[in-house]
Amino acid sequence: AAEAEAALEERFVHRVYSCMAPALACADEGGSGGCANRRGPPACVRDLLRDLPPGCLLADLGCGHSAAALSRLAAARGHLAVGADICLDLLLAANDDWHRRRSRGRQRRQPLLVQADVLRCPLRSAAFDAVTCVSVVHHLASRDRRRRLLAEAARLLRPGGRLLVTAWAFEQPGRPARSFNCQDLLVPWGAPEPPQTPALPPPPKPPPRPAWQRRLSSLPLLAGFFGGSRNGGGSGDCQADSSDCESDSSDCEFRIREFPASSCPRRHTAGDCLCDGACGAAGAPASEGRRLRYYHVFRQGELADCARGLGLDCLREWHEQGNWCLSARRMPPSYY
Amino acid sequence: IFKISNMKLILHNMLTSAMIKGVKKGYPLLLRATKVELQPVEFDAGFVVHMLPRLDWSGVTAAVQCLNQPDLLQDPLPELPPTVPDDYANNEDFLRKAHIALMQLDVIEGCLVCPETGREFPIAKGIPNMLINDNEAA
Repeated sequence: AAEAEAALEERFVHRVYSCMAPALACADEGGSGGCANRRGPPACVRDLLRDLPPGCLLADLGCGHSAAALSRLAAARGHLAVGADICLDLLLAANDDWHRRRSRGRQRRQPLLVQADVLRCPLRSAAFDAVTCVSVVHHLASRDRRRRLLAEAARLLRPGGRLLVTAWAFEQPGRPARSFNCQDLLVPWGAPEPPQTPALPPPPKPPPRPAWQRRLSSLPLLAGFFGGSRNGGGSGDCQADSSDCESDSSDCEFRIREFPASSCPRRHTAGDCLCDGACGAAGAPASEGRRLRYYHVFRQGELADCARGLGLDCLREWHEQGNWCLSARRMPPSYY
Repeated sequence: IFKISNMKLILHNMLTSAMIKGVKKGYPLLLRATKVELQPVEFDAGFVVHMLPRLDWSGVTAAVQCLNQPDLLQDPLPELPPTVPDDYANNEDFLRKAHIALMQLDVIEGCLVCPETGREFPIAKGIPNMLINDNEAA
């Protein structure tokens, strides 16, 4: 199961970001599709940088291409930020971004970047005044791995150090309030709005499941992993052509509800499959619109629950632009 | 087009190989540089004063010592005392040397080495690659 989780992340997170890195570099801090669109670091990060006394050391886990923007903001307050990310393409994009702005005459302290797995973080324990983890934990495929990320963040913090974690929220803003219809999703890149399901309609007769799903439902390891095998909502639109998916079924070992296609502005053709089109399913365009990213969207209180027993004192959880934010403080060793 | 440079000694000061199975401390990493440059970075005394208590000074001196190879750098390396002087906050001479060591020395090419296992971590395009294989993980 641990391998399957890592494989899922490799397929539906790392590979996608690697492919999209050049586009992100050019987009000049444009939105990252799916996540809450923002220009530069979000408000909660800006607030944290302001709250910290001047001259702090900050670690940004899963910094991505926006490491340069964070570094600039940190430098403006006299802080130093170290960014860690698994994806070299994103780190190079961050460097490019810094050099581009530097050439326009803005001298700022260069981002310090390291290519690393944030679950196996090569940074010294208790060395940092603050750790930020923005829109990262929702890309981890199991609660265990999400807790491991928070444990690493806690390890990096000196006693009293501040942690800021943000993740895409299950509960989405709007009037009336909306939510996703499932917590584990594959979201097409560029999907501008989360699906609107103010109330779950009675599930329609489930469409026949693709061969790869039927085959995998026999694996006891995965039974109930994401709870239930009912297909409801809009997934009926996306009927996989089973023969085309067969070659990729070894990777798609999770029965994840796809982002309901009916609520996407883009129309999907019948041949689209749950994979990212790499298996060459008929009609699946290889354009960015079809790049699927895995998300585990968080319910209210779930971030704090994830952080339990890791030596973190959860100060505050709040909803900001479609994300849950958690602010916590590292407790001294004697406390846990 | 642009010079990629990033692997500064202040970053080295925070890196460890402790995520490798069996490694007790994993710090400081050995620095095997094949290409080093001295970057122009504006001296900011206040910044250095804030950073010094947060760094491990013995790691800084060890890293500079690793760079003390013939023909590696045209400019001379800063001479650093073995410990941070008590009056560091007002000692501009010391702060300037510390600044050169921490912020201006840039390892363009080379690798970092785990002091306990000898495992090498390459530095490519100025970015150290600290990824390990599953069978190496603790």
